[in-house]
Amino acid sequence: MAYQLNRSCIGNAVYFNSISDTKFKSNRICVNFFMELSEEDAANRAIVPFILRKGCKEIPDISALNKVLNTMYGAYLDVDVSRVGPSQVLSMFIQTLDDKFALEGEKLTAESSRLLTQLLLQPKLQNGLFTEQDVQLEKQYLIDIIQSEINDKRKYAIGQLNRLMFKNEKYAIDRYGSMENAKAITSRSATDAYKDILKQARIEILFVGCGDAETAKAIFQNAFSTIERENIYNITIPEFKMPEKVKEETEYLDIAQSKLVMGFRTQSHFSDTDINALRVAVSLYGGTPVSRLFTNVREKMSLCYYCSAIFDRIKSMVLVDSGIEKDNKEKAVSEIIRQLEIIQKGEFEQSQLDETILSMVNRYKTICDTLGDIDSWYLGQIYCGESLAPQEQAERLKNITKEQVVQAANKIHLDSIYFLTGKEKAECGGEDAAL
Amino acid sequence: MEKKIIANKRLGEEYIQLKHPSGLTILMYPMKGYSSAYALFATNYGSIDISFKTGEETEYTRVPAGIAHYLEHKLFENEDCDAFEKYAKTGASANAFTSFDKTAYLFSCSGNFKESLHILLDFVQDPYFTKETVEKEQGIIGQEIRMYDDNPGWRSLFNMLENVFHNHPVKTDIAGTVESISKIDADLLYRCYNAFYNLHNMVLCVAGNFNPDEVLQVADEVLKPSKPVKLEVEQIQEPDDIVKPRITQKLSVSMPIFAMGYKLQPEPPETLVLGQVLDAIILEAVVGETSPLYKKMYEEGLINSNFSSEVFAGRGYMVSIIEGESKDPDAVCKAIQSEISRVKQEGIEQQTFENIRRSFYGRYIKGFNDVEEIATSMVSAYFYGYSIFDFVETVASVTLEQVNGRLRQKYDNEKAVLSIIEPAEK
Repeated sequence: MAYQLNRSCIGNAVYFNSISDTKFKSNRICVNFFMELSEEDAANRAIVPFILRKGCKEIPDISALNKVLNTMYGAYLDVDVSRVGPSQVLSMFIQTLDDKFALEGEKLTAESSRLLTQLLLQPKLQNGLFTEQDVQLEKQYLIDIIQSEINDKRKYAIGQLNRLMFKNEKYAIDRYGSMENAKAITSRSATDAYKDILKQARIEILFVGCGDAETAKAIFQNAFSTIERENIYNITIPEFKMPEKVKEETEYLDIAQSKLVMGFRTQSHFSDTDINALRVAVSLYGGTPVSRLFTNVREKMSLCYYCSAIFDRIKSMVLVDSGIEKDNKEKAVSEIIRQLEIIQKGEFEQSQLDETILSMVNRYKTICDTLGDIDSWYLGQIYCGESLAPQEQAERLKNITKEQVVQAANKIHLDSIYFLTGKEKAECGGEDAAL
Repeated sequence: MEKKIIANKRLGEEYIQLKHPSGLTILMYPMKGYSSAYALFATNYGSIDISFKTGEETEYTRVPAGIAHYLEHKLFENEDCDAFEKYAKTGASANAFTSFDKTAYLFSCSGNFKESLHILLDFVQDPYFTKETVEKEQGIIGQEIRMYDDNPGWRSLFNMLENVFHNHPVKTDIAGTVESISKIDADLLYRCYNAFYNLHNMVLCVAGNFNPDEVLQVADEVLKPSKPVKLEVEQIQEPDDIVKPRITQKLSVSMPIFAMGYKLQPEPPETLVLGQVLDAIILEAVVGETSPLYKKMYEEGLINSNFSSEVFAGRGYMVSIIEGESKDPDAVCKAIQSEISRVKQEGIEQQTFENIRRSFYGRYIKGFNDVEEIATSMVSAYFYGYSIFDFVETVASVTLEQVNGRLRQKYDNEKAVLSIIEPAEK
């Protein structure tokens, strides 16, 4: 099935995008605000979606709002704060059953679109500011989220690698901002951030599902026509920086399984013509259960439970992460580097390349079977100024050659190594002697 | 071949259930317009099945904890290569999982379906365990166990289950412990395999974009007919009461995480769906996001958005679980227990019930959007003897009297366990 992304401009840097797919029983509408990642403003901006989620002028009470969602057949409303390249993305989305399943002819597509516009554009304010109660509660929640990163050791280790690798660069800024900035949030600063977002953000609305996108579009167009817009955020990608010296850091916590995370910079831009060869190279390296990393570091050497590589084409980086036994760190690091060198020298079989491409093609085609996956896919496309359907992307991989993969792999350079491991009792002279 | 169509008028959907001559039951749910197919080949054997006897044996054999999971890992390996290498040639994305009451081997693909299905049916029927291959897995599974030991949500849940249940094996970690898996050898693996991986004890479920005729062709080619094995899993005696009401553990977390469980009487298969639907409605009414208690605790800063509830049910166990994070989990527990008492006394109101029922109706229907969800739910449905449409139909027909009745009879604050993971001192 060929997808067509329907994109229209419904305001000053406000876009409505839709994908129609009649096999689904639901629709998903997501409103995304792109702002520049800023050390100073990240926390104030991050809190905004959480406050907006709690209610609006017309429905100021959270229980009442949740009851409305229940009445809409269990409509699912949520918010998200994420990072894409050098941008902070603030999103609110709602997923509802399509109109055709409503037992009393309710117009769920129109109702849910209207609800989103009310929550986003007609917030509950007191004397022109977010209420003290809402701000205090959500501020505490934001602080809790920032602190709780440590609960998931795998994610925590990846976050630490990110901070090490991109120190003093934009990419080191956390999506929720810093703890000190979160603690300093006030009603005034949060409300100001909200106003800035409405004025300056690049706004991308995505509608995916079987329902009537035109109805939704008209409602959003009408709502956003009243908003004043200026100094619109223009997405620019920082220049590639070659790593100078490999940075290393080890951290000690009370944990059973150690985490090894390695960051590599790629000499590439997301719009490069050979970006697909780089994607394939990384997948061959560590993207499938028959990748070089899985087969060697896990299966042959039994060093770990997981060892994989992912490619971020916008940040131009490759991340390898692995859960290992403390004593195996040096062995694992060596093997991870050796496997990359093997690809860089072309010392792999054509059959491995064929299998990697087959696996990637399979995964791209499967994207179209889930609303959330389609949404993420197209948001990535829109961010990069593209509109390829997943099936089209799959086609582009089919003719990638071994030479292209080798060339692309040689653009991958080790930048940083981060190791999270268990605390040791104080020892004299040992390399893991206590802190 | 016995074949039946299981249909639902409300959704306008149907699936096929048939018994293949080999002894295996096959469920097929073609979905128009989808690109992928999802297939699971599963056995009605999980981490709770640690004591069993087969054929004419008189004594039960008890096996070490974690063996079902160990078996799942080892089955991927053949004498000449492993299943992932075979799937690499068809491009399918493969995996497996072991849960409390079943083990499933699966793949998802958007092409080469027949070839991938061939691989699936083939390798699961072809066990190969040697001393060397079994020992090699110790390291990998050891790592997996240690990874979960660091997971506060997982630990919070299992600490709770350990104190809810005196004897039932559901309280033991699915992967076992590093000590228990050290007792596993090739002979034990073969014994468990031969007992539980009999086609009469298994099911094949396929959903999405595929041709049912191809499924039957591959089944005819690959399935080895098997005689039913007389298999009896020991019914563990489990008293109604709990072990103790509170348990804590320290891990490096930023704030306390908790899991609270209400021990309920297990439901037999015939009433399992009804029980689960009623419990889900009760939980939603008492602690769900539209409940007065949720609002009060949220506004007092006692809980945050990481607060949820679920019904945890299977063969011989049923627990209503409430999880979240809080600076004062004891206060949360006390508030919940008070609310349970209050709602038992006053009853859930009609309007609240209708509002919740409507949201569940929508949520159950939305489940039918997803290939993986449909395929996976067919597995449990088959093993427990119900149809995947039963949840939608049950929620459409339950009454407020049933909900209030269950709340009054089954929910007892004396049978609640609170498990807390506290931050370790730095």
